[in-house]
Formats: sequence, C-alpha cells, structure tokens
Amino acid sequence: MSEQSNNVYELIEKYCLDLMDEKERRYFEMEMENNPALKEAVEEHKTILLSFDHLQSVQFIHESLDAIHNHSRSSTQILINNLKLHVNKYWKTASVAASVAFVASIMTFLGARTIYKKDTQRTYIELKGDINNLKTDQRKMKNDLSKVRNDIKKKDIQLPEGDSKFSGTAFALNQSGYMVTNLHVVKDYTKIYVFTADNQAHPCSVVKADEENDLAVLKITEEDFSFGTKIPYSVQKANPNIAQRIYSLGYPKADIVYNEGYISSTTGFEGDTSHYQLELPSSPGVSGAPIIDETGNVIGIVSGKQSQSEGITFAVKSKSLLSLLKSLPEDFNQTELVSNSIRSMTRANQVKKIQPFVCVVRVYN
Amino acid sequence: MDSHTSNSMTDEAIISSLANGDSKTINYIYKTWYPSVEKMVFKMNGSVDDAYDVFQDSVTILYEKAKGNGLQISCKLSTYLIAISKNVWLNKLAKRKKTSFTVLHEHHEGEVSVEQDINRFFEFERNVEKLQTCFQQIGEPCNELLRAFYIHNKSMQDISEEFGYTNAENAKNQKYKCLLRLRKLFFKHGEKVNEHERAIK
Repeated sequence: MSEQSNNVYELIEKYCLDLMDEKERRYFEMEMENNPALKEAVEEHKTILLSFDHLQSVQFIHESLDAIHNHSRSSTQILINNLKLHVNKYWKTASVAASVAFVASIMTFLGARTIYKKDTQRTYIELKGDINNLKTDQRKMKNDLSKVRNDIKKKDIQLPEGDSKFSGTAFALNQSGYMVTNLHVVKDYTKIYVFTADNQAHPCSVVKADEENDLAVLKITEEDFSFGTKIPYSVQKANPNIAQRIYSLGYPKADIVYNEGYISSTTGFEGDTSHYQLELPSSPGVSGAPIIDETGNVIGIVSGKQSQSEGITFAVKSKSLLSLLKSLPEDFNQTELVSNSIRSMTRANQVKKIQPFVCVVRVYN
Repeated sequence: MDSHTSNSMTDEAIISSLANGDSKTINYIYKTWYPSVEKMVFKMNGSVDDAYDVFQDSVTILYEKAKGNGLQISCKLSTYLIAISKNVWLNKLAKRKKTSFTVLHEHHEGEVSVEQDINRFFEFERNVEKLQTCFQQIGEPCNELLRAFYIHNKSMQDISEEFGYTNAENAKNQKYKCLLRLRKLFFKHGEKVNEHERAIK
C-alpha cells in the first residue's frame, strides 16, 4: 500500500473520531458527497471503530462485574465463619469486666516483644505494640473509649471483648479493602481489626501470608467496604540507592505519626537482601507502615529495628510485596497500584492524600 | 471513607459516575439490581449462569448509553434496567430455540421503550463476533497491534517501543495496513475495497 492511501485512512479515522477542525471537516464532507466510494469507506471504518468500542466496553464491564460477583460469593462465606466464631467465644464474657478491658484495648502502645537473634549485642525487635504494658494518659483513654464505643454502635461491629493483644500499622492495596501489614503483627490471631482514620473498626481476614518476608495481606470482610477513592500512591519495584530520602506514616500511638529519613543500606539485619536498612525513627506499633520515596511510590514496609540503636529501622522491600500480590484472588485488581497521582505534590499534600489509607491493626484472641 | 454512605444514589449520580467507569458505582448497581434480575431470569426458566450473563449484557448496555450522549431515559433507572434485562433474556431464549424475537412492547403506565437499545446492542454483538473471527485471520502481529491501539488505548509511541518498530510513524503505517486487512475480511468484499483505493487516488 502506498503512503498516500495511508494518508487517506488517517483522514478517514480522524473524521470518524471527530478530531477534525471545522474547516477540515467541512472540506472532507464535501469530498464525501462527491465520492461515494470514500463515503462507503468512511461508513465501514465507523462500523469497525464502533465494534472496537463495544468490545472495550464489554471487556470492562465483564471484568468489573466478575470481580464483584466472584467476590460476593466468597466473602459471604468468610462473614458467616467469622460470625460463628464470635458467637461461640465472645458472647458470654461479663460486660463489666469487658468494659474495663476495653480501656486497655484502645490504649496506645509502648511495649514490644523482643525477639533475640543469635548474638546478644544486637537484637532485632519487631515493632508491634504490646498493649499490656502501656502507660498512657488516662483522660485521653477515656475520651477514646467513648468515641470508639459510639462509632461501634453506629457501625454495629462487635469487637471481641477482652484485651487487644498487639497492634501494628497496615496500608491499603486497593480501594475495596485489601491491606498489607507484617505477618508478625497478625500471626496466630483470628480476630483482626483494622481501624480506619475515622476510628471505625473493620473486621479482617488474612488472605495471604508470606512467612519468609514477614508480610500478610489482609482483606476487610465487610462486603460493601470502600475507601471511596483510588489509592493515591503506587507500589513499584524500585532499586533505590543509599542516601535516598524516604518517609513513613505509622501508628506508634492512637494518632498517625510522620517520620522521615534515608536509606542507609540496601541490605537489612545482618545482610538480609530482602530488606533495607533505614535511618528512620521508629517505635512499637509502626510494624507494617509504608516506606515512601519522594515521588509517592511505596518502596518498602517497616518490619523491625535494631535494639541497640535508636534510629536504625529495617523495611521489607516492595519487590516481595509485589510478588505476593500476584498470587491474590481474581477480585484484586493488580493495576490499581501502578499509577500514582501524587508524584509532583509537595510532601505535606502527599501525606494528606496518603493518610486515610494508612490504618491501625489490632488483634485479639 | 465509610461504606455506609452509599445507601442510595440518585439515578443521575449513577449514570454520570458509571460513564466514568467508577468501580464503586458498578458495585452499587450489582448490589442493587442483580438480585432482582436473577429472580426474574429464574422465573423465566433461566439458570444462575444465564442470569449473570443477562446482567452483564444489561450493565454493558447501560454503560454504553451512559458513556454516549448521556443517558436520557424517561423512567426510573431500575425500571429501565429490568426492562432491558427482560428483553436481553427473551432474546437469548429465542436464539436458543432458533425462533425469531421481537422486542416486547409493554403497554402500561410509564412505558419503557428499549427496542432501539436492545437491537443496537445485538447488532454490536454480531459485529464483535465477526471482529473476533477476523482477528484470528489477520495474524498475530496485526491482531496484537490493533488491540493495543483500539482496545487498550496505548499510544503509538508506546506501541512502537513494545512491538519494536523504529518509530511511531512506522507503527502507525503498519496499523493502517492491519486495519485495512481487517476491514476487507470484515466486509468480505475485497473487490470493492480495491475500488475504493482507486477511487481515493
């Protein structure tokens, strides 16, 4: 085919897609009147383009509905199972004792369980908060308690009665309630709750666990849960250098805390290549917090710190998370984490956008 | 943020956010109307799979209408969707029994005319079926190239990188060649297309 007829087809397409300016269009329409063959070619082109459009719509609607349809069947099952557990175990607990215990459950977290690795000089501490050792301002606790109670009433979510054992941080992987945190935060617990920024409790189940990289993917089990907007940050495989600036958002206390620092080594505790070593303040409760680079891309997940030093924090690389996500069920849309709408925003605005997607995780037995 | 604000959406809000492909709205449509559509298809001798099939087609019709000149319906959205679903299902049933089907005309208060939408949809479906056959016949590279551009909305620049063309202009020429081949197959009158070319020159 000659270049010239390619040009003609380019014109035809431009006309069909309504991309011509007024003058061009009028001229083209005149051509069409005088040249029935051209007119027929245009009609045929239109038909083909409409068929492409239709195919695109069909695929989009089918994929979107499939995710909901398949999911709504499976999550009903999860909800039923959770309900059974609640009824069996928690319904009977005395209410007075429970309300006292409740105070403990909404407290902030200081203590941390220490895991000693082989040498005694340096130890690796998982940063989940141990709620039993807390000392916090009593008044704040009471306020929080009544707030939580109101919210719970509103939402009709029955938290298990008794102490929340540990807490950590989780962040969203899509708008419909997939979250990620550290496996050590939720391991061995069946009652897992995520508290969104508006202090509402949402029951979760662990959909995927990666023992080796200490990651757990959670799913909020409420069928109609949604964050309401697309996730602002991206999660992409990155190969950042040492000295690259990073920041994190986590819950070492009841309110979200911002911290910033830099990558100090591309390997983690004792040369672990699946982790970064960061110069970043961290305290118990921030396990599972996202590590975000300057362009709003999540490059890692906080998992622990070195006991002897104040500033050294370790984070799992996002690579491990991405490979874990590939094994998620069909209703998880892989493409949502690719784009990033905060790339060129100021830091403060990035944080404002990200904040609602970072939540507290609490576990109960 | 919280999931409980979505108790009800106005028809206008549904239509405008569906046109943007909002996942929450699709979810809402499913939650609100799938059960009724399922029940209706059951009553009319359909299976679960049939019901879901019908629902997918109906939401597609709604989506295309919303995306097009803005959906202007003279009745409530739920009435419209149910009428569409019913006709889609009857159409499928007729096809199964190899009988012809004409769109139901329901004459009652607030009559919904869905004839045009249904006919348009099934014409599209036939075209897409034809298109899929043509895709298989034009060969892998052309198939991928056309899909990348027209269905996945990739830019010519990205396509030329992905498919290894020297530049976007080259990729574009290749795209027109492929499209012409597709069109010839699609309308199955190669002679005429040649005539066009002559006429165009």
